[in-house]
Amino acid sequence: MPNPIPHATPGPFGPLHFFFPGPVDNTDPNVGHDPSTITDFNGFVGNCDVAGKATGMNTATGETVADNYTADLRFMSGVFVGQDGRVHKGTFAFV
Amino acid sequence: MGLHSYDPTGATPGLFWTKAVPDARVEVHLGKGEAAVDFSMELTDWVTIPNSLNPAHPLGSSPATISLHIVWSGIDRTINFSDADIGYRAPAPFTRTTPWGSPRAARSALSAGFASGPILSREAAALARTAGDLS
Repeated sequence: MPNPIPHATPGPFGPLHFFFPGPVDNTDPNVGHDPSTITDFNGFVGNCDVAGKATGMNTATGETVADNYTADLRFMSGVFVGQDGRVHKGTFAFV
Repeated sequence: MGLHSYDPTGATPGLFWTKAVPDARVEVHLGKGEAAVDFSMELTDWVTIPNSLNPAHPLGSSPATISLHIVWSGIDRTINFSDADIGYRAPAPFTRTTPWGSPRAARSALSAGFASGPILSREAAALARTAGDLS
């Protein structure tokens, strides 16, 4: 497994190693900058902060309800230095 | 109703909401501002975001599966960016682009299912090629 990015965004129970989604050249220290959540990584990163309509379902009863969603979704695919110090290849998701 | 807040740290200390997806299908054409990602994975449904972040997880958790399909296309803006403080030693292109698709379908052992419709609004989206230190 890879190591987290060094940056720590303050969280309610401790630091969180990620940036909120936003422009890479943003001035807010915790928004944008690096969309990846893993470090020592060469590869492709994609992110999106999106919203839309959804359907929720109780799978036990089949009852459905209209819902909304918002989601910060990302992928990272490439080579990275793992926690074992070796170079690996892999794909990771932030969901 | 719905699923929320999967794996705040996963099994690896410090990794935030990040998990390996060995069976992912990823296609990227950065110069065109295009990418497509498809995968399904098993993970943990922590019910709510606060519950996922609280190390005590007072609301418990449940095994869940999630599938995801997102397509990015169209270039709004491209800049070359480097920042040694965050590990980008060489200028890397960052392309602001537009995501499409129905990003999530999920099912949890808590008898909760969730299927998202098409993306209707987009606050931020980007594709990038990183230039991290592998030495």
